[in-house]
Amino acid sequence: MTARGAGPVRAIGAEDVPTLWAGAQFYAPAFGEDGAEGLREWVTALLAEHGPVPLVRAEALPPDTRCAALGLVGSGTALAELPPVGDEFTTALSGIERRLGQRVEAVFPLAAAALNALTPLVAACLRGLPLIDSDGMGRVFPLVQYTSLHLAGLPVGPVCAAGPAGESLTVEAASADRVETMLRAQVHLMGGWAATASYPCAAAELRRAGLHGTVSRLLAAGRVLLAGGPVDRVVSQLSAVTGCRSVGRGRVVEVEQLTRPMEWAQPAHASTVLVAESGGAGRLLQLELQNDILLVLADGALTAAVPDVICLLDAVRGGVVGLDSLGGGEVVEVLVMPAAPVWYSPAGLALAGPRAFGLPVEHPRVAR
Amino acid sequence: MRVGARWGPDGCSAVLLSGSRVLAAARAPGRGRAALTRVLAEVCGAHAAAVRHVTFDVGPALLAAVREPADGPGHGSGEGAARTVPVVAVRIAPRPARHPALARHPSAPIAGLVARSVTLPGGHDLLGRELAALDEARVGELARELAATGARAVAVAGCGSLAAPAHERTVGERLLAAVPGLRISLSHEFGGQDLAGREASAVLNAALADVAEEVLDACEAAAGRVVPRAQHGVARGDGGRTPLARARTLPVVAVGAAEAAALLGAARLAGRERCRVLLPGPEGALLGEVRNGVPLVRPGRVPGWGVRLSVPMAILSAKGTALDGAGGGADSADAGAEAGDGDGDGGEPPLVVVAAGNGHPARPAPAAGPDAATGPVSDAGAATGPVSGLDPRAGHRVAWRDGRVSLSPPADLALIGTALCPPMAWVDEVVQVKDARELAAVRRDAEERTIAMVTAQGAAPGSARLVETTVVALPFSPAGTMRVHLRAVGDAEPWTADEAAAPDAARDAAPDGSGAGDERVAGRSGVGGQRAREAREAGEAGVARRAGEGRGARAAEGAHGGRRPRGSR
Amino acid sequence: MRAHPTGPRARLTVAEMLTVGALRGAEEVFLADGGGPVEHLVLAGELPRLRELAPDTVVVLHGEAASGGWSLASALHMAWERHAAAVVTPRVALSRSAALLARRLGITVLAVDRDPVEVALALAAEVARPEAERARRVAACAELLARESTVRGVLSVLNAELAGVPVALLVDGGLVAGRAAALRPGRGRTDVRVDVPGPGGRRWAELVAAVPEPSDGYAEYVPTLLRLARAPLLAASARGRIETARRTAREQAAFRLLRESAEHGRSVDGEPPSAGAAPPDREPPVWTSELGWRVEGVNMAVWIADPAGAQGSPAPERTTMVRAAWAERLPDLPLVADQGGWLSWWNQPRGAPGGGPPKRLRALVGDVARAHGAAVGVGSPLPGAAGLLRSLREARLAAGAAAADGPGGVREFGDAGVAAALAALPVDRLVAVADLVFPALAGVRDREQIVRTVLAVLDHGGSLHQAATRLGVHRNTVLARLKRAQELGLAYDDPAGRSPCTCCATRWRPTGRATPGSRRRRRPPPGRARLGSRPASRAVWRRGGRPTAGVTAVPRARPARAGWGVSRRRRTGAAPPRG
Repeated sequence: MTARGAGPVRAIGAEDVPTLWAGAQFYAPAFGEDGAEGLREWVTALLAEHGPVPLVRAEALPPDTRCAALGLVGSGTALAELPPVGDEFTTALSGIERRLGQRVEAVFPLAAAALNALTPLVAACLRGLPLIDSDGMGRVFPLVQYTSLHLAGLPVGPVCAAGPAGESLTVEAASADRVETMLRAQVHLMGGWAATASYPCAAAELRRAGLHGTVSRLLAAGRVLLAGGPVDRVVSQLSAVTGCRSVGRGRVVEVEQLTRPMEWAQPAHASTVLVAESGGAGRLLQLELQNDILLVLADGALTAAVPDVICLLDAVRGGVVGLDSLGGGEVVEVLVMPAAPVWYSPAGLALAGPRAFGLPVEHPRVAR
Repeated sequence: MRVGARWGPDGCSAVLLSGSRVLAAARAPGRGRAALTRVLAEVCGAHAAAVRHVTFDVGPALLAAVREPADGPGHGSGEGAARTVPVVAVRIAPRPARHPALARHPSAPIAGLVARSVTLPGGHDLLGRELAALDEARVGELARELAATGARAVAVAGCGSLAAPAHERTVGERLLAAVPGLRISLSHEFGGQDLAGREASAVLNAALADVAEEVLDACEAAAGRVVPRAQHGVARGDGGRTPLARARTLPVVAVGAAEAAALLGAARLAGRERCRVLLPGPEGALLGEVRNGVPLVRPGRVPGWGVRLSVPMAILSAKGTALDGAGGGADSADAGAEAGDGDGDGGEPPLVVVAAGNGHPARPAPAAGPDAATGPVSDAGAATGPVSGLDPRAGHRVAWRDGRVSLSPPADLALIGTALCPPMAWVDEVVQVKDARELAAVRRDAEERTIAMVTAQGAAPGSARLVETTVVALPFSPAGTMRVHLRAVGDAEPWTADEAAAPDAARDAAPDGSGAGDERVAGRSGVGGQRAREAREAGEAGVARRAGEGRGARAAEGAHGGRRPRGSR
Repeated sequence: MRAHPTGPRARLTVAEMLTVGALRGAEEVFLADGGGPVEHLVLAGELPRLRELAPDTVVVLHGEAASGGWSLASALHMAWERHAAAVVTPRVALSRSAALLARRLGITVLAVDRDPVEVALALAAEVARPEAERARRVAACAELLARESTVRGVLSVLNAELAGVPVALLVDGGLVAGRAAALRPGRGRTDVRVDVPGPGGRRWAELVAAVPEPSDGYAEYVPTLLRLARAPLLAASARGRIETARRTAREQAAFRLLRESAEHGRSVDGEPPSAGAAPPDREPPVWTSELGWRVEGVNMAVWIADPAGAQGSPAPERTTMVRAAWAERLPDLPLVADQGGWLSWWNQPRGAPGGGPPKRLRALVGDVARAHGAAVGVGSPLPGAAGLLRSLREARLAAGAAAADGPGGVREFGDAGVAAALAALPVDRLVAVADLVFPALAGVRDREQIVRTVLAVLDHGGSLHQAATRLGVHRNTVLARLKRAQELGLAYDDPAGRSPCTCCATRWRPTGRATPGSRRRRRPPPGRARLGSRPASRAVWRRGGRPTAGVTAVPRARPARAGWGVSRRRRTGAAPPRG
C-alpha cells in the first residue's frame, strides 16, 4: 500500500513498484506474475537510488517540451532469458536524441501495460526526466504503429532500438507499417527484445493525441489487486475502479494451437482457449488468443473483441493468469474492460479492430 | 513395503507403508546417521527384509543449512555441521551488467550465497542463436584465478543455455580441468525458461554440495544398515523421486519436497487422482491441487522460503487471498468452507480438507527427548488406529459429502507422500514450428524424451506415462514459437497387486469399520469378508504395533511366525 | 436460394438428406433432430449473411465464414438463434471447440470433405423441389438396376443408392444377398418389406430394408426403389437358371468351395469361424447369393446315382436332361453334378417344424430319377455345411442300396440300414472276384437257381424248410441244390466262408446290371421305364426251365434271349414281374 493513498499521484517511488506491476498485469495479461522479476528489482533499486520519478500530466508541461515514447519491444520470455545490462534504455534515448539533434525532456510509456509500465522509469531515473501520465495505447498491442498517436497522424519514427548485446540501430521509413516490420525483424535478431525510443513529439501534440491518465489508473487497479480478498470482492472493486465487467467464470477445458491461419508478419500465432462456465448458464466461452485475448465468444455469440481489454483472473489464487502459462484445469474469471474511446472510431477499428487481427467480425459495441 | 523418512529440523521421523496403508510410524530426536538409523530400525521392525523402497526427504536439512549459516557448530547430534560453500556465480552473457542491482541475483537469499560474481562474454538467445562468441581467453583467466583462490563451488548460468548448452559446458570443462575437485553446477541441467531462476537453482545446488554430501551419506548409511536391499531414493520438490545416487549431483531438486509430498499423500489416502487439498499451515490454510495423481507444480517459489527456483515446486496458495502471504489466518474449517465455494459443479475436483492432527508438521512434534519408547507408541496408535472415513483397503466407508471429505492423517502426511512418490521427469522447452504437423512431431519427440528420462530416474520400463502436457503460444515472440511442457511419472518397480494403490477403486460403501481391536480380531480370525491378504495385513499391523512397543516385544513375533509376509511387498 | 415449401407428405428432412439425399457420406459431428424439416438452403461466405436466415434452413459455410474455429462458433450461434435445420461446414474448419459447442447448443452440424460450394449446388435442387429430386434419383437408379444381371449386382446397386439404409434379399426367410444389417434393424429403424414374385407369379423372395425413423420423406422412396428392383432380380435369377452350361461349372466350383470350407472348418473368407454370431453385416457367401443355395440350417441331401455308372462327372448331355426334368418339377432345389451323379438337398432353417421334405417332393424326386433310370438315396437331416456333406455321404450309400431296387429306386439312409453298407461295395469288382473265386459256378447254367437257393437258405438262417417254403419247392430240391452248390465251391455252411459267400451271392443276384463277360444281359436303355411306375422289382431271368414257384407268372420266355423277351413283354404292357 502506498502512502499516497487515493490522492493524485505525483511521483512514483520504489515502494510503488509492486502496485504498478500488479496494475500493469491487469491491463495486459500476456505474462504472469513471475515475469520480469529482475526488471522489477532493478527498477526498485534505481528508484531507491535516484529518488522518486515525478509523474506529470501532459497539459501541465510547456507545450513545446520534447517528448519521446519509451518501450520494450519483444517478448518477456526473451527478457527473462537475456536480462538487461542496464544501459539499453539510455542508449536508445541517446540514439534518438542524436538523430533528432535535440535532447528529450520528458518520456512517456509507449504502452502503459505489462512490462512497459516499468521500463520508462529506467530512463526517467537515470536521466532525471519526468514521466508523463499518458501513453500511446492504453493497453498492449503487438505492433508499434497501433497507437493513438499514429491515428492522429504523428509519425512513429525515427525509432532507435538498443539490445542487450550492445547492439543498437535506428529505423526510419516512409510508413509506420514499414517501420514496424523492419523493427520487429531486427529485434528478433538482437536477442528477442530491445529497448526502443519512438514517437518523438512535442507535449502539445501528445496532449492532443495521447491517452491520458493511463499510468495512474494502473496504480489504482494495482492497489485493489494487492489488497486481495475473495475473488468476488476483488472483481467488484476492480469494476468500480476500472470499469471492467465479468463475462463469466469457469474451468479451462481446452487449449488449441494454430486454430487460425498463421500470419508471419504478426508475432505469435493463433490459439484458442475454451472455458466451460461453471454455474450460471453453463455456457462455453471461447477465447481467441494471439499475444493477447482478441475475442470472447459466449456459446458462439460475440461478447467482446479487441480493442476491449480482456483479462483472466485466477479464480482460486486471485492473481492475473499469464497467457504464457495457461493450462487446462485452471479456474479463471474472464473480465472485459473498454479501451479508450478513440479505438472505437472507424479509423481506430480499422487500425486495431478485429479485422486488423484477421477476424472478420464487427465489433459488438459498434454493432449495437 | 515402503518407508518414507525425513531428516527434519527437530529430529528424524519415518513411516512404514504397505500399499497406501500406514503400518508404523516412528520419530527420534537428534540428527545425523545415528538418529536416522534408530528411527528406521524402529519403524521397519520385523519387516526390514520386506521393504523395497526407502525415500528420504532431506529438504529441511538442506534448507536449514542454507538459512542458518551462522549457527554454531553442530546442532545437537554431534555430526560435523556442514556449511554451505561460498559459490562463485559465473554468468555467460553478451555484456556484463552495469548496475549492481542487475549484477546480483534478484533474490536476496541467493545473492547471499554468492561469494563472487563474474560475467563471461558469450551467450545465446531464446531459440539458441549465438549472440556473442565465448571468450576463451577470459575463461582461461577465470580458471587460473579460481585455482589460485581455492574456490570450491561454481555455478555457471548462460543466457539461452537451455537451447544451446555449449557455452556452459565449455566453461565447466575448462574450470574443472583447471581446478580438480571443483563442484560445478551448470544451469541447463535444471531446466526452466528463466535465467534468474536457473541461476538461483545452480547457485543453491553448488552451495549445498557439502551439506548434501553429508546428509546423503548419512541417509545411505542408515538405510544400508537397516534395509540394505531396498532401493534408496530422495523425494523431490516436484513430487517425484530420484535415486539417491543422482541426488548427490543435483541436491537442489530435493528442496521443498515436503509440501508436494503432503499433497500427494493426502490424495492417495483419500483415494483420488484429482482433487484439491487444503493443508493446515502455520499461518492459515494452504490450498494445493493434485491432478492425475501428481501434485500441481510450477517453477516457483520454494514454499516457506520464498526463493524462486526454476525447478518446479508445489503451488500452494493461501486460500481467499489475492497474492501469497497476505493470508487471512483462517483456520481449516473456515478455509474449507471458503474453498468449498464453487464446489458442487460437475467439473470441480473434490476437496480434501486435512485436519491438523498430531501427525502434521504444522503442530510441533510431541516432546522430543527421552520418549524414544513412548513416542512411537502414540504415533503407532494413531498410525494403525482406524482412519475415519479413509483407506478403502480397510473397508471403511469413505465419507464424501458435497464433494468434500475430511482427512485425519494417521501419520505425517508429508512422510506418507514421501514414501509414495513415484519417479518423475519433466521437459520444458521453447520450440518454433511452422505448422500443425511439425508441432505434432515436436511434441512426440518431447514425449519420448520425457519417457526416457523418467525411466532413467528409476521407473520400471513400460510403466512410464505422461501426466501433464501443456503447449502454450509465447506472446510477442515470432509466430510459431511455443512452450512445450511435459511431465511423466512411472512406477518404481514392476507392478504387483500389493503395491498398486488403486486410487479410484473401492470407493463403495463398505461396512463401517470399528476400533483397532476389531481389526486385530478380524485379522486373526479372518472373518468379515476380507480377503486373505488384508487379513494378513491386519495381522501384520498387530505385529508391527507390538514391535513398536519396544524391542523386547520382538519376541512376540514368533507367535505369528506364520503371518510373516512371504515374497515381495 | 429459396424454394417454396412443398406438400406435407413429401417434406424433406435432415435425416433424409443424410441417408439417401445429397448429404450422403457427410460426417455427423452432432445430429440434433433428424426429423426436422428442411425448407431453404443458404450458402454463406460471410458471417453477416447469416443474420437473415429463415427457420428450417440448411446453412452451408464456405470462405470467410468457415475460416476457423471462432468463425464456426459464431456461425453456429447465429444458426442456432434462428432455428436453422443444420449447418454444413468443410472439415478443415472443424475443431474440437466447435464440436463441443454444437453439442451444447443442440444444433446439427455436418462436416463434408468436398468443396462446400459443390455440396450446396447439389443440395439446392433437393431442397427446392424434393419430389422432383426423388423422381430423378428413382429414374437414375432404375437405369443402374437395368444394367445389372446378377442378384448380387442388383443388391449392391440398391445398397449404394440407399447408403444409409441396408437392404437384403430373403428367400424363405434365409438371407440370400445384401447386407445382413437389414435383418437387425436396431433402435430407431423400421422394416420396409417388398415381395418379389417368382416365375410362376407366386412369392419367391422378399426385399427388406431397415429405414431410420422418422421417415416421412423416404416412406415412399425406399419402397419405390425396392419395387424397381423386382424385375431385375427376377431376370437375374432366371438367367442364372437358364444358362445351364455355365451354371454347371459354377455350381461345381461353388460346391467345391463349400466342401473345402466345411471340411477345413473355415468360413468362406478363409478365417476361422467366429465363436459367436457372424458379424452382423457380412454378405452371404457366393453360393447363396449367386446360386440361391441355402446351406445354413438343417440339410437333407439327395443323391441321384448316374445310371451310366461312371466314376467321374456325368456326361454333360445327361446333366442337361436331368436338369431340364429337375427344373420342371423341382425348381427350388439345387442340383449339382458331382462325381458319379447329381447332388441336391433340401434345406430348412434350424428349429423349424416339419420332419423333412414333404411327400410331394419325395415323389417328384423319385419321378425324375425313374425317368432316367437312376437310383436315388436320401441322407438324414443334419445341420450346416458339414452336415450337408455328411448327409451327402449317407445319401450316396443309400443310393447304392436303392440301386438294388432297380431304376428309379429311392431309399432313405435310415431305411437302407445295413444294406447301405453293402451298397458301398463295388459291384463290378466283386462280381469279377466272384467269378474268379467260384470258377465252377461261373459257367454253370443253372447258376441263378443255385444262387437263389443258397441265398434263401442263408436268409433263413440255414432252415431248409423255410427256404423251401419261400422258394416254392420241395425241401429235397433245396437240399439237392445245396449239395450241388457245395460241389461248385459255394461253401455256404462254412462259418469262415459264409460272409463272403453271402456277399458274392448277393451281388450275383440279378439286378439288371450287366456282369462282365455276360453278353446275354443288357440293362434296359433309359427312358423305357414308365413314368409313375412303382420301383422296379427284381427282374428275374431264368435260363431255360420253368420259373420256380413263388415267382409271379413270367411269360414264357423265349430261349436264349431272356432280356429281349422281357423287354418285349414289357412293351406289350404286361405287368412287370414281381419277385
